[in-house]
Amino acid sequence: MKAAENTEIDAYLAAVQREAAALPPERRQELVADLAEHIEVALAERPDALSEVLRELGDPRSIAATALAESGVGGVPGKAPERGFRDRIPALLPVLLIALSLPLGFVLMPLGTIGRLAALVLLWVATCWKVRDKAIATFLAFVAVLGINIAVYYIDPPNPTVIDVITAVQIGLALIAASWLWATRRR
Amino acid sequence: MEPGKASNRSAGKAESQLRKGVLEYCVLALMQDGPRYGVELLRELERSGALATSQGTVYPLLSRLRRDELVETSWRESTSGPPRRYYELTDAGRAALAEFARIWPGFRDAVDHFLVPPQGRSESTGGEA
Repeated sequence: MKAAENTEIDAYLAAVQREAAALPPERRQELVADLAEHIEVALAERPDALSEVLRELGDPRSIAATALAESGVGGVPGKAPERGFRDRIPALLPVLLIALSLPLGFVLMPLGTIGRLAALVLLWVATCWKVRDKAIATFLAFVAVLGINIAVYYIDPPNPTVIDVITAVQIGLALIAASWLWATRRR
Repeated sequence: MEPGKASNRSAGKAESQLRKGVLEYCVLALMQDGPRYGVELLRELERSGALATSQGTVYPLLSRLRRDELVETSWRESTSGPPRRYYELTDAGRAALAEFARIWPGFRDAVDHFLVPPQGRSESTGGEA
């Protein structure tokens, strides 16, 4: 075999090696060995046809991609990825906590705070909503509600009726957030 | 973007998916009359038109068939050039091929059933015009 041919083969195999970097080393070696073997045998049958042999073998990248798919590293279609605990958080849990933590807070102040914190953490850890929907719910149920609380603290409303109305608005906001989440959850 | 181009592309995608799905059985079928070596297998595949992509992409498939013990390999000396690695069906490989051969006609007919109108294509197109 001519030196120039060897260089061309080495370059081809090196390209496969490089493109298949994500494969486990053992698989990668096997793939390169299979291809090297193929080239050697094909050249024995068709001397001087190296560029044709390599062209027929095809693009190192697509060979590597096929190898990745076959070995499961590149994600075999039909095989679902492992479900972590984040995927297993039931959508109902943060939704209920958001809807109920305000009324719970009236029953027992710490319950409301704990409920709200838990809801916030669960909402952002869970994978059943898009970031957009998480942000909308957070704004409605937490930022807006807290903002109203702070405003009320500074304005110091004159009578209990106004406070009742404000509380109703806050519960309403939380309920809207909860409904929004329930409607946009990934099933 | 022209619609023709898009539908061509999706037809091409369907074709490549189909070929990918049946390729391993074509490979197994090529070995049913006896052991074949890699270059020989790929030449046959290429010639038959069963190959969706380049020849090189068959080696990862052969490697998986080997791992799944559907085929086994052995080296044989050749009168010309280097020794060849021959691929041969195992009992499991033979069984997998037989199973595929059993379900394929039903599958093919089921798809045909949807693609061809019940009265037969020539009749319905004649009636429509």
